[in-house]
Amino acid sequence: MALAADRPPLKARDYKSDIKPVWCPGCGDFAVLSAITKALAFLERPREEVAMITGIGCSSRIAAYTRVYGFHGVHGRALALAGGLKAARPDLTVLVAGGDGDGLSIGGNHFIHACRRNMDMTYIVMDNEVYGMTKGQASPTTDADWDRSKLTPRGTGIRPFNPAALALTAGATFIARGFTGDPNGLAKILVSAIEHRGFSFVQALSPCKTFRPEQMEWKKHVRGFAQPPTHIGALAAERLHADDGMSTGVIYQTDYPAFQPGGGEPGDPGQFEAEFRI
Amino acid sequence: MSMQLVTGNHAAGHAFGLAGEANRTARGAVCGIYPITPQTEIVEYVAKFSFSKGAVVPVESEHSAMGVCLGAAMNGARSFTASSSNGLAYMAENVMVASFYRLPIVMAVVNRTLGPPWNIWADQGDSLMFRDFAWIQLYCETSQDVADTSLLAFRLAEDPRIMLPVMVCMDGFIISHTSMEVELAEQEQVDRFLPPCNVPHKLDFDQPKTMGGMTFPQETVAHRHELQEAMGRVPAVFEEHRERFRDVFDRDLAGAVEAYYCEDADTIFVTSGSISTTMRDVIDKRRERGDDKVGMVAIKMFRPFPVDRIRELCAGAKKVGVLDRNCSADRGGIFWQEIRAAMQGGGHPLIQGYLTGVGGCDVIPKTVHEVVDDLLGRSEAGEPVWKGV
Repeated sequence: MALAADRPPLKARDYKSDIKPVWCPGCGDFAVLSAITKALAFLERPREEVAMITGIGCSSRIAAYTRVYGFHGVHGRALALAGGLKAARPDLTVLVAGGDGDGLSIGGNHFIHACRRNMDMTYIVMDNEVYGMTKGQASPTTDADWDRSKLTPRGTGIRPFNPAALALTAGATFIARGFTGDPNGLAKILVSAIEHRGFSFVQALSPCKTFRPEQMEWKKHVRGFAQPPTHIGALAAERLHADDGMSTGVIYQTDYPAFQPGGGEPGDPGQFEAEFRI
Repeated sequence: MSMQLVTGNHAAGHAFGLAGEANRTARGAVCGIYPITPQTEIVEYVAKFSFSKGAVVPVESEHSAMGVCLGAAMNGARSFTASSSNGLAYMAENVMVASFYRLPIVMAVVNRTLGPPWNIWADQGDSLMFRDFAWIQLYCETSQDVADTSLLAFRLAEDPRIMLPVMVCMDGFIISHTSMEVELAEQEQVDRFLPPCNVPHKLDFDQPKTMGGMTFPQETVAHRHELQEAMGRVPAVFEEHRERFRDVFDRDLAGAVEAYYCEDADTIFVTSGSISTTMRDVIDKRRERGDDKVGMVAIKMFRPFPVDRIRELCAGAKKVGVLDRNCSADRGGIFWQEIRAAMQGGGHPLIQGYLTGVGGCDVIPKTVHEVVDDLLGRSEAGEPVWKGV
């Protein structure tokens, strides 16, 4: 087997599989696939050293569209599974991807604990503020008055999550927001996220042309954060609070030791067994 | 009353809506909802209702959807939800709580293959994983059957002799998404059919109490014994309410076990769900030819399993073939296992299992004819026969 160093460099398209995405034309998730593959090519990550773990939903189909190790897991549990993989293979670049429904609704508990645990992985949430795969219901990032879902025809009446603020509170050490209308900018964010040692959270604003066509207007409102990233949590919180959710870029990055299970002095099972000797 | 073209999902949603509204004179209706293919239309239908008393509560997961039903039922609200496949798997912990708390919750299950690998087509493995959860399970054959069984389910669940939750199951897409002629109920009829829901152990201001505390084995065994006893009463109570259904709606509702040409049949096929319709058609063809004395036992009620009735119907048969749209790896079809257990004892017929439609494979008349030919040509039972592999 040829060593990675002996192989010709991979291009972004080499990280894509031959399977044609089932996403609707105009879906933002195409740009996320493009940004991820560009970032991996830029970082020259060998394909066999990258794993893509996903949950359930339109965006979670992305595992099948990449040519790295892929695991299309169960709904909302991608982060738990990724933690097991990272514990077993600390050398792998672990990417976790899914939608706002998968990650913030049914998987919300795993999200906050993954932030807190701060294992070295990158979590990309393709946020379109809707459940697309079940045909257009409100998600935890949907505005309270959005009334076009058959499940909530009078709106949810519930305030949406601010995913970046949630990640900050829960302890993520890298927090960024990108936009699929700017795939190169998103790829740059992903490069920084992957290089960061610890739990990196990237919210990718990814319009749903089918169930939220009004999101095609997002491109008029998206702009970069006025300030560079900060490592001060209170400052990041203040900026996120003042922001309308349309500013992109790295918001927060701090050094905190990434958690890697194991290590330390090995135990002594013999001594434990000795306590039961009769 | 007029006939309409209605899918299984529409039929369930309509019945749930009317049943919920019918409890306005008591403690209302509550439905915890979370979408999953192929049942989403049911909860979308229920969400259209504005209940005079009660609420539809969209939540973040199936686990919470059942949680909402538990809390509401403890307060005596008529409570219902719907789910499928892995949604049910995630809900499982609270599904068990419903029966162990003796809460008369009704859940529509649109049977869908469990993943991974991901597959949205019909397979009964999802609801059958709850066979030991003390839920009544009813498998429907048509949209009309879904509409009627969903209403009967509330009457059965809330009967003071029963007080157990009920799953109303239908094959994903084949029934859930196929429009069939259905006579839908009217609110006035449902009001007459369903008495106000009365959960005897509901919250009571005068007698505050805690449910679900720690118990010792002696108390727990008594609890399990009560569940067993309540299950045992279900077949007779089901028939009582079926009579009442006839009175109110002026039509019959498919029974717990439906016999088709069993009187003179020497070969009987046991089916459930949509496969029963296909089998009925195949039996008609075979009978028209006149040479094969074949019959069918179509099972609606899987829990409790109507052992006596099945033994009675199969008493004269030399051979019994069981068609399963599910597979318990190693033990084969789950209905097949149950039939073999039900028929145990001396002189039972040859019993052969067929795995038909596992993972959502189509079961077309040709498939069923092959099953019939296989059993007619058999002189001894063997390992389950796979179709579609």
